[in-house]
Amino acid sequence: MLDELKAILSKVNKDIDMDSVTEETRLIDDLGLDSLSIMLFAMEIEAAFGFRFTEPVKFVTVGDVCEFLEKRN
Amino acid sequence: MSVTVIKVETGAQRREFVNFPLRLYRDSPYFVPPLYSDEMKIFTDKNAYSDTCESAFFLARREGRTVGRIQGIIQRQSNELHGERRLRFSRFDSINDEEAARALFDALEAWGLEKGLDTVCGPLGYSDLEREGLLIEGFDKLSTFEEQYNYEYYAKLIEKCGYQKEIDWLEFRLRAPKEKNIMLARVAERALELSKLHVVDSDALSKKEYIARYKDGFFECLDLCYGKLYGTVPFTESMKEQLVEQFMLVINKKYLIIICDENERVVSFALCIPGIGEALQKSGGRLTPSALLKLLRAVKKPRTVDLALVAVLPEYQSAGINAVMLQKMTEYLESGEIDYFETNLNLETNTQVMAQWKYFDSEQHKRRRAYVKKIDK
Repeated sequence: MLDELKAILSKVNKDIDMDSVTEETRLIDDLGLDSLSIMLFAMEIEAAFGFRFTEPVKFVTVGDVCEFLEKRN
Repeated sequence: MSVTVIKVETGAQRREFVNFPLRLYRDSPYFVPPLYSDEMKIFTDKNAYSDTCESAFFLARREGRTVGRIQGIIQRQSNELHGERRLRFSRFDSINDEEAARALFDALEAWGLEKGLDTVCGPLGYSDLEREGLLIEGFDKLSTFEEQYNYEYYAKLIEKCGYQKEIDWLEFRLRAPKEKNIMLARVAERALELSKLHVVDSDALSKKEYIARYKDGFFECLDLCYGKLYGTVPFTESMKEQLVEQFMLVINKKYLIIICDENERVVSFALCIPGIGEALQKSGGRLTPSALLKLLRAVKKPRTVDLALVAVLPEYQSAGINAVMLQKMTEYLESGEIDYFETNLNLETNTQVMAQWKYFDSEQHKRRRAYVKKIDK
């Protein structure tokens, strides 16, 4: 799951060093994503996993996203 | 002959206070005057800030000629909010003369001490919506209508009077991005959908109706978003009325984007003002028939647009809503309708706002500074 999310993150921002991304990595504070990039990240997740969010995403860490997707599955 | 400072009290002195910078900058291609009628209002009870602020105005004279001016503002709301005893200095203008500047600041500081204040800061206006910040970089760039131009020597004059930097603002010029951002429109649409928000259709309403319907929500949003920023104060009803009146003439509703939730609550807005600086330059801010015609033409079909105020309620700040404004701006730039946007003043600490400019071909072309000095020893 983490590797899949890293692949999606690299589409959102090519400058992120994927080797440093872990589940504890914070989207805003560590990766410097702005609100647009987070929205884009959410849209790429929707496309990759074949569903649509029904409310605004409030993920803080990459781990939060993993947990959400694993629960969905 | 030495400089004398007088406190402005008579009608003739008030007119001189307003006219002095118009003479000082007569030959400057970068200075944009404020509206003359708005400036004359600051001496009267018609000034919406007169119930929350106290002011004093000073002129410096040598051999019968005015060589400088300064205003002191006691912003009581701000002082109460922050538990401070501050005096703001505003409308400082001077010839390049240390004695004149020192005499003005001495008079201002003496008045401040008399009033029991301990700190002077500025240049700041009655509120954040007035012209503020001393220009310290970008002297060869045209001012916007919302800001005050000053000569390069002002910083040295102020610093020699013992003032130090408190905070800076940065300004940017935004042109069409070098590479098309095809994601922006999709992100904007999805962000609105996910948060159940919509952009108000301004075409369906006249400018007057549009402003009347959303002004309360606009000010509520503004207060919530700007309340903690340097130099801002909450809006009273009379301040709101004055601002709406002041801006009614220069607003083109096409450049006022309002986003509401399902209950028509304003959650975000972008107020952009058509670039009217050049239209006002020759008239000295007086709305003569020909100046008014130029102004209205510039409002209707501007070549440049100034970002005046942009806000997103805190609960929506991570929701990508700003994509809506950025996408609209990009559209106007890429179509060639607008040459560039001026961001006006961004506090240097407001990195979240400035991070948005990476979506454009942006140039940081101006810097402004607020100064501070303790006056009680």
